[in-house]
Amino acid sequence: MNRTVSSAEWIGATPRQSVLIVDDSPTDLLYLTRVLERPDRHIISVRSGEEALQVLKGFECALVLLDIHLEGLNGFQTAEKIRAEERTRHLPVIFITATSRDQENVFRGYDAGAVDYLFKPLEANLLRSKVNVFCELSAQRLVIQEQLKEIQAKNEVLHRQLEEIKTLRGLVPICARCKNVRDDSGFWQTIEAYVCDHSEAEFSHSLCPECTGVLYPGLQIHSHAPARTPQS
Amino acid sequence: MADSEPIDINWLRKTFDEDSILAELYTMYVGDITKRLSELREALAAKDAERCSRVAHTMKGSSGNVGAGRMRELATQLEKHDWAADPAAVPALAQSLDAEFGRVRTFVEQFLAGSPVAG
Repeated sequence: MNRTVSSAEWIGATPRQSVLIVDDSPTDLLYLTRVLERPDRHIISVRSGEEALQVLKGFECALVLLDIHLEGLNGFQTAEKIRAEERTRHLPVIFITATSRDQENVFRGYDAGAVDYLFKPLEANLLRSKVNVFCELSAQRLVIQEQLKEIQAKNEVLHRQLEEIKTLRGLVPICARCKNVRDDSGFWQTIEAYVCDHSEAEFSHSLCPECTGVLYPGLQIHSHAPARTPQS
Repeated sequence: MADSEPIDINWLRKTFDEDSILAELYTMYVGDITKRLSELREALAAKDAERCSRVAHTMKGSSGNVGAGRMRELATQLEKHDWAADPAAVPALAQSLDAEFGRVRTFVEQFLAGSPVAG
């Protein structure tokens, strides 16, 4: 069987550039595929509404081209089922029909969520233009979604950091003798460990002149640090 | 003249640069319509007007897409035909479709063999 009419060729496609075509005529499926195919686009072609719904369950598409006259679920019924699913509620559907421009059918299509209508024989340039527009919109929507995810992730980091700052600014119980502090879980730890856990600060070990004098009484100390004087 | 040809080759040539795509589409079309005509004969034998109309509708769509103008006209007539009002005309229309399809097949065979076709 020609690969363009296989209903299983959607595996491994790039979601943002996928177009699902549903038509029970293998000739029309092949024609649509050849008109719409591009190196950066994947065409998924199926011959029934049921197959289309199966594909959409596990696959992101930019657009569906849906023939109205299908065996089993017809195009309108298929579109209604697409609308009923949360994941595919806003998926653009273009109906295709060989019927003459029948007003009743057209309006029914719009009720079912059709964004457009095309009549066979299909004019290739018009079809390409319409499909290109929807593919670009889909790609833009994915970029915006990615940017939104990044912003949300950054917001979470900022929120966490703000919480840590608030923790450091809150009331911290400190032992009057050893100067250890009690953390949020009730454990006592050194003040250095506590500050390290709750901020970006790190400690390096040193001795102040006063302690050096106590520990090493004979040692001459030449410090350029200003002497601390108590605030009045 | 192009008008008398069963397939207007310019219809697909204005869309596709490569004749290999035309060959692929014509081959698919001939295989597809062979099955549809067989289905139509079954529907006629069963006097199933609805199925007959549905098959004609599908043939109309694909005939239009490959530029088979006369096939499209005949399929449209059959799709819209009031079977109840004029049952005798239905087999005649089906025969016309068969005959026209014979011309289509010859045209496609010539095209695939590389013979010059009107364009």
